[in-house]
Amino acid sequence: MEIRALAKADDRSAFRSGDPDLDAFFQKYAGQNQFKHHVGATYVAIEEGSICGYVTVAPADIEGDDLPAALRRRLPAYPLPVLRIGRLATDVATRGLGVGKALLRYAFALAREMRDKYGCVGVLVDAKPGAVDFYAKYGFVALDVVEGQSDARPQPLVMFLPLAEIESARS
Amino acid sequence: MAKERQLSAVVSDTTMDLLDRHVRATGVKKQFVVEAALRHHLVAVHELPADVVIHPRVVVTRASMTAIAERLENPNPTAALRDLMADGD
Repeated sequence: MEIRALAKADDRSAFRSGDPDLDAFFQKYAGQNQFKHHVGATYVAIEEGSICGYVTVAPADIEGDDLPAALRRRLPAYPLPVLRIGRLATDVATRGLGVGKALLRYAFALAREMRDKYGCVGVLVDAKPGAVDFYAKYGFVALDVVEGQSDARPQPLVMFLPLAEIESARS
Repeated sequence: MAKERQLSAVVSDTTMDLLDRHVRATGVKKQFVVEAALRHHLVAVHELPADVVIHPRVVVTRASMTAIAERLENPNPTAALRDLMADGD
């Protein structure tokens, strides 16, 4: 399986995840996001010439609302940079083949690259209700968001995993 | 020159600090940054539905920020995460 950045020439029309919102985003907006507005980057998993999954990411910052001085001292004096996974989906025809896990691992590699080049402390994910257990299994913890919640419906749960845990898991 | 009007808005300390740092580092005027940012935002939301935009700023509650600080200080990967990363990058 190859994972690479979405290309303009990629045929996205045949992709079916079973979730109409994820399919519509991929087919209609992932290209605009990436090539025109530059507000997110999509990476695709390719198996035997066909797209079998995708993950869309963008950089983001986490801030605390009304933090006490004691907690401020434990954190850097600026917003925490993270990589935010906005969408991750796999084709129904390849379900169970580890495509989702491979895309998640790829997103982790992007976050580590971001850390080395620009700064990044972890990965945020907008988890759809049916995917919360998938992310929780890897240690993602749910956050109570005051601002910056996704406008998608059903509303995703914002979850966080520190890069330090990903690094620790690699050793 | 296009006719100009004044815009007043309350922003967070963090956003103001970031803006101050940016204009100091680049030498551009705040007016230019604000107008360019507004134009970029309005073009993007006009052409893309709101739900496809990944928000770049997330503000969480004090309890969530405490949880984040604890996780950053004490990383403890799950068995599933270890298995995932053992499969290679």
